[in-house]
Amino acid sequence: MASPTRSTSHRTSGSDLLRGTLDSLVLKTLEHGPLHGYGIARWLEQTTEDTLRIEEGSLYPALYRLDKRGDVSSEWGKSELGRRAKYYRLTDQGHRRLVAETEDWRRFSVAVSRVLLTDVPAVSG
Amino acid sequence: MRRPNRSPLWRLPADREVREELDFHLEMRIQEYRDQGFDEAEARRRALARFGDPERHAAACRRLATARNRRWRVTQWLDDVTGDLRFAVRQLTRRPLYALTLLGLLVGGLGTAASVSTLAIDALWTAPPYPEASRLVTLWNAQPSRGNSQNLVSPVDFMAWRDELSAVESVAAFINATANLGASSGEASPRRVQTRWVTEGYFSILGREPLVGRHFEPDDTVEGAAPSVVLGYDVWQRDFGGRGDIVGRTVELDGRPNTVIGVTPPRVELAMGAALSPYGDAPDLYRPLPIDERWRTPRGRWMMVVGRLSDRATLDAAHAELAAVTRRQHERHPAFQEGWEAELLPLTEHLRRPVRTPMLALAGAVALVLLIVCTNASNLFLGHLLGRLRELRVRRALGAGGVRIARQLFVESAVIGVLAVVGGGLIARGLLVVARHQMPPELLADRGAMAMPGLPWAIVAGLAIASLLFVAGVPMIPIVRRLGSGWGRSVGASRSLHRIRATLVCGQLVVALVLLVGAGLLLRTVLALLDVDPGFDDAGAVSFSVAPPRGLEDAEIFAFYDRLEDELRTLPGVSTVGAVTHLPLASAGAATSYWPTDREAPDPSEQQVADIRVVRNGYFEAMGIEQIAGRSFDSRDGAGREPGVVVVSRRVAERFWPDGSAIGRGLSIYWGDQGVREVIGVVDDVHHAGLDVEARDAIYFPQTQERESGLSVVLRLESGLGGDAALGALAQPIRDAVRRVDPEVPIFDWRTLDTVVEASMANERFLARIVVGFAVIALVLAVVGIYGVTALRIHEQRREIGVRLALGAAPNQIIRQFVGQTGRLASLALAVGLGVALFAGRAVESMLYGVAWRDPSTLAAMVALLGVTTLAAAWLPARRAARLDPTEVLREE
Repeated sequence: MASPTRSTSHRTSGSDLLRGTLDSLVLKTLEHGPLHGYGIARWLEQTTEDTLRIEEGSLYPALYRLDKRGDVSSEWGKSELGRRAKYYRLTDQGHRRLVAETEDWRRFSVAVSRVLLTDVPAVSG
Repeated sequence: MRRPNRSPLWRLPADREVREELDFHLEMRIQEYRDQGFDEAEARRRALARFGDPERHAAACRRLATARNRRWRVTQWLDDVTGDLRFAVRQLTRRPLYALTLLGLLVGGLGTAASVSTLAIDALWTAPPYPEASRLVTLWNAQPSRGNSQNLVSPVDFMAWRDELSAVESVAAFINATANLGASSGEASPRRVQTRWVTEGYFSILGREPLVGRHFEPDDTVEGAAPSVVLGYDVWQRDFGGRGDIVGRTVELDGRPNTVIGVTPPRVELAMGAALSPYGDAPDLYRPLPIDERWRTPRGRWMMVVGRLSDRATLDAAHAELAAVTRRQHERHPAFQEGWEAELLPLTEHLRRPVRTPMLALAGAVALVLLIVCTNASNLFLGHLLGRLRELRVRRALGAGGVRIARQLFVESAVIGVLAVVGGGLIARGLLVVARHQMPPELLADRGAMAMPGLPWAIVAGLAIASLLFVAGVPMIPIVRRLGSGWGRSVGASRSLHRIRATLVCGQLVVALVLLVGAGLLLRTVLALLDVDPGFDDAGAVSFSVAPPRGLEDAEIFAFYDRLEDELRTLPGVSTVGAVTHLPLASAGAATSYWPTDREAPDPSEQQVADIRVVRNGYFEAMGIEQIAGRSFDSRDGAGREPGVVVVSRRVAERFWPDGSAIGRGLSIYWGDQGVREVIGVVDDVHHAGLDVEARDAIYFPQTQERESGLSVVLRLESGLGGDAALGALAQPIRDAVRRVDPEVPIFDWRTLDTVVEASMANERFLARIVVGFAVIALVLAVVGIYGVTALRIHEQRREIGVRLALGAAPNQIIRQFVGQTGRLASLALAVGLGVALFAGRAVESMLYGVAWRDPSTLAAMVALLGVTTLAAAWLPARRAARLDPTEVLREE
């Protein structure tokens, strides 16, 4: 997956991985129905028990990127408290991407686990 | 494809959208922290810490949103157009008759217009296929006193021009001839080929490099050089299979070996002086024409001359210089040059001048047809719109803007337009193929524009845009404008559309009248030509040409023809046989000046000019040329007889001896020598140069006294055997007869005399056929237009007619009303049309024969024809209106 901008060069490659992953997380969040940005942040917070500590503002460029790419669509609506809020919805294309990325992640994490969690015999030289 | 988001979201500017969204998030977070018991400032601090820099995130979002919005707008627009397209196709398929008629009109009109434009561009604007063709000039001798501006050139003038003109950097002379190409070339029997004898420099003036080998060099063109030949591309391909080792090989021309030194590139032929050259003008091969000092004697005019202007010389400078050379020539050869001048004409002008009027007339006619087609299509479109007013009003009421509706209508026209371009382009290409085969060769330039595959399409597309702007634009403007102001509710409002319709129909009548008058004039021309007595009997006779090999003794040539005539006479059905150098109407021949010996001779330029024809005994009988006085040639007129004898045409006899005493008089004729010959007979005048040219003086020599080897043989069949079948059946026996006499002699130019006469009118017939066709189309379209307008008006006034009929109006009154309305419209149109037709007639004046450009009877006949058809077209619907059943009409509402 190509990253749209490389302007934030102070980030480590770990953050790059996170950013790509952030898109997948957002898509996953929307799998169960439309949500506004704040709702997505709350959902991620609760589901991950706040372990990822995502900078919430960075959700929005991700959402706009997904919107531009056609993975999500957006629409103004009323929030639970009756305020105007912008809701995001997973498109068919977004759904397909979510499935694909979940599969990629599964393979990636299995491979990494295999390496990291295996006891390696000491090799001389 | 993803449907674009249809919410009005994107209409929010990107920065507002982003700000509102981020603010919402922050406020929700602050609220959350407040609920957890933090004070306002702390809640805000925590929310911001968690969020990160809002400005940075907002900027990233704005960039993305702007890009997304831009893309949406494009998608949205594409989507709208797709919708419009789908709607348009549905509209058209729902009304197939309307769609097909409109399309048919446009396809036909555009296709015809594009093909004729291509032909006109080819003939009038495409340069001949030579480098810097605009600097090529043709040079001629001219005889102003006889209105002769392009005469063949004398060698003595050619040599003076070659040596003394500096504004024309080089000149070359050439003559066309024919030869028998020997069987060694691969053909089973010898073949007649067109040859062109050219002086050195001919090819370099045209700017053509040889494709293979070399062109003529000075050594090839001196008298006594080994005979060499340059093959034309087509002959090289056809007779020699395009083989690369052709240079150095020998080909047999008229039984003599010639060495091939080169091959020209394709399409190098200079189609010049077609009307002046006694033979066809596309040479198969080139031979060297040796012109050296021995030719610097004032004798004969028989060459064509082409030159190239020097780099810095202007045409004016060349003219001035040529005039100076001509003055010197007059001093050098006062008697020979008496009355003769020199003329210089750019090659392009020489080629275009004869086709300009016919091509422009054709282009004008097709423009008129396109105009009438467009008015008709426009009318159709208008009627279509009237039928859809309700739908358009509903859409307007549902909130579609005027622009939106105009766009929809525009897309509909564009769909028609695209289809029309495709169809029209195909038609144009087809018509060009037909034109290539059907058009008289004099009108068909074929200089490359015809072969450009894109040109007709480009023209069709250009014309289609212009046509559609007219077709759709004229009716659309008032519709769209008035839809905006709630138009359409009142009955009277459609009146403005009716006014447009009436104007369009008026325009059609004007155009139709112009075309009808043009067609009438051309038709009268053809009829007048058919009426001309050519001076010979063209029914039941056939002709072909032969040329015995060069180099035969006179006696051998005579013996060849004697044996040939004997063989031909024995064929079943053949009554008489004769032969002549140049068949009348088929090709131009020689002419010279003459004067009777019993009168004092004036200056040569004042003397009479006569066509000279050399004939075999029996020619006049075979041609059916009437003998008026004296006798025809016979065995008494042998080679040795002194003085020589001639037969003259009626004009000659009547000019000099109106009392009928021509027989036995002497004529001094400039023919090789200035010998005196005795008149032994008078025959009827014959049109040699063309039916539309007054018969000229003619003098006939017997072949026995004026050796000519290549002749056209004429066979007259016994009466009653004149059918094409009988003539066709003769072809093989004649071939066999020639072969029995000499198997090495090919026969060519096989034709019946009536096809010769017909071919001489090919231009006029072609133009007349096309313009008559156009006029008929115009007439039909105009009638349809009139019918439509009247029928629609009646339809809209059905109720009123019903009321009037119910109140006792006579049916005739109704008919009179509607026919009268149309009649008033038509008479206005015809008056305008008459004016335009007079103007247009003037333009084709030079193509007319036997009829004046403002011929009152043609004008009156065409006005009457159009007037009557118009009234009939109005009367038909009017009569139906008068027969309406009032009770039914009134119940309809």
